[in-house]
Amino acid sequence: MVFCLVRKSYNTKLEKKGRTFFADHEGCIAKAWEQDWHFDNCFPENDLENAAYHKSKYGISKKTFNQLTMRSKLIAVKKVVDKNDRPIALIVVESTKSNAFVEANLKSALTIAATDCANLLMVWKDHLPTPSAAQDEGL
Amino acid sequence: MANLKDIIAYILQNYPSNMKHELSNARVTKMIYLADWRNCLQSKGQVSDIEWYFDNFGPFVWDVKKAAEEFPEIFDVGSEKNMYGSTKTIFQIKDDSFKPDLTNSEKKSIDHIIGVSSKKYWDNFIKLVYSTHPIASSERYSYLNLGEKAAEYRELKDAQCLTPPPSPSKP
Repeated sequence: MVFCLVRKSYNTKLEKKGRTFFADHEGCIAKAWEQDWHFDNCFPENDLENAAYHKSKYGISKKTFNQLTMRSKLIAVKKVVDKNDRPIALIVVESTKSNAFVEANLKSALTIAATDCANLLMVWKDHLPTPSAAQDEGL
Repeated sequence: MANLKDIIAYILQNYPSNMKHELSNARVTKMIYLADWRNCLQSKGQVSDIEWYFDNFGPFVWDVKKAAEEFPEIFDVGSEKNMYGSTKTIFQIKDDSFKPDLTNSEKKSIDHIIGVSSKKYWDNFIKLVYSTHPIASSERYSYLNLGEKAAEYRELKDAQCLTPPPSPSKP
């Protein structure tokens, strides 16, 4: 299970947390979790076609698709690993516009960001919320 | 729903005696939040009638302190310095013969929270509060509808977002 720690956008509507928990075995998250990097710039503009694309490519149901606050047309996901190369987090960049970023540029920027992010997470790990720990306590 | 004075009294009477010095306004308030959340997860609604607000420091309202101050014959409300030098409000039970009026289900939820909370120092206790779904999924400075959040949490569980994926098969 992946938990959304922080979400940032200049658009305050898009900055609001939508889904806060994501299964780490489906969607873009699963692909980056397995492969280190995932980039998709091929989301259809039409909502019906986009829903079908989400279903066929990512296994995301129409119901979940309809609940998405942000229907992205570009998604990039970079895995964040600790010093022992264990995955600890993901950085996700989304845009409502196709071709908003060039994949190589974004990958290069997020690779640097992932190292900084890993350092920060390791320092703060004892203070970060852990929903699975709450679940273990029956909460 | 139970009256706040009964909930506070029950916590003060049943918290482990060697840890009662921990029972500050902040800890008791957050314990009531956790008990409310626990009861909502079991589809029984909140234990208290508090309308929870996600403040700077997690779920916080002044209702608990006000309720304790309203009943000076039952509670002692004092102040102490915390480890950072700031003042904290401490609750103690004055009338130990007071019998809190709570249902078994309400007592069970509070007992669960006493068990969980009394084993944690402040930092881990706060981390637990921040890890609960209503706080983890809400914006600061908003009211928390725990009943709705519990339904949302159950849906997430059903969608298997909250269960670990099967372990990869060994080569």
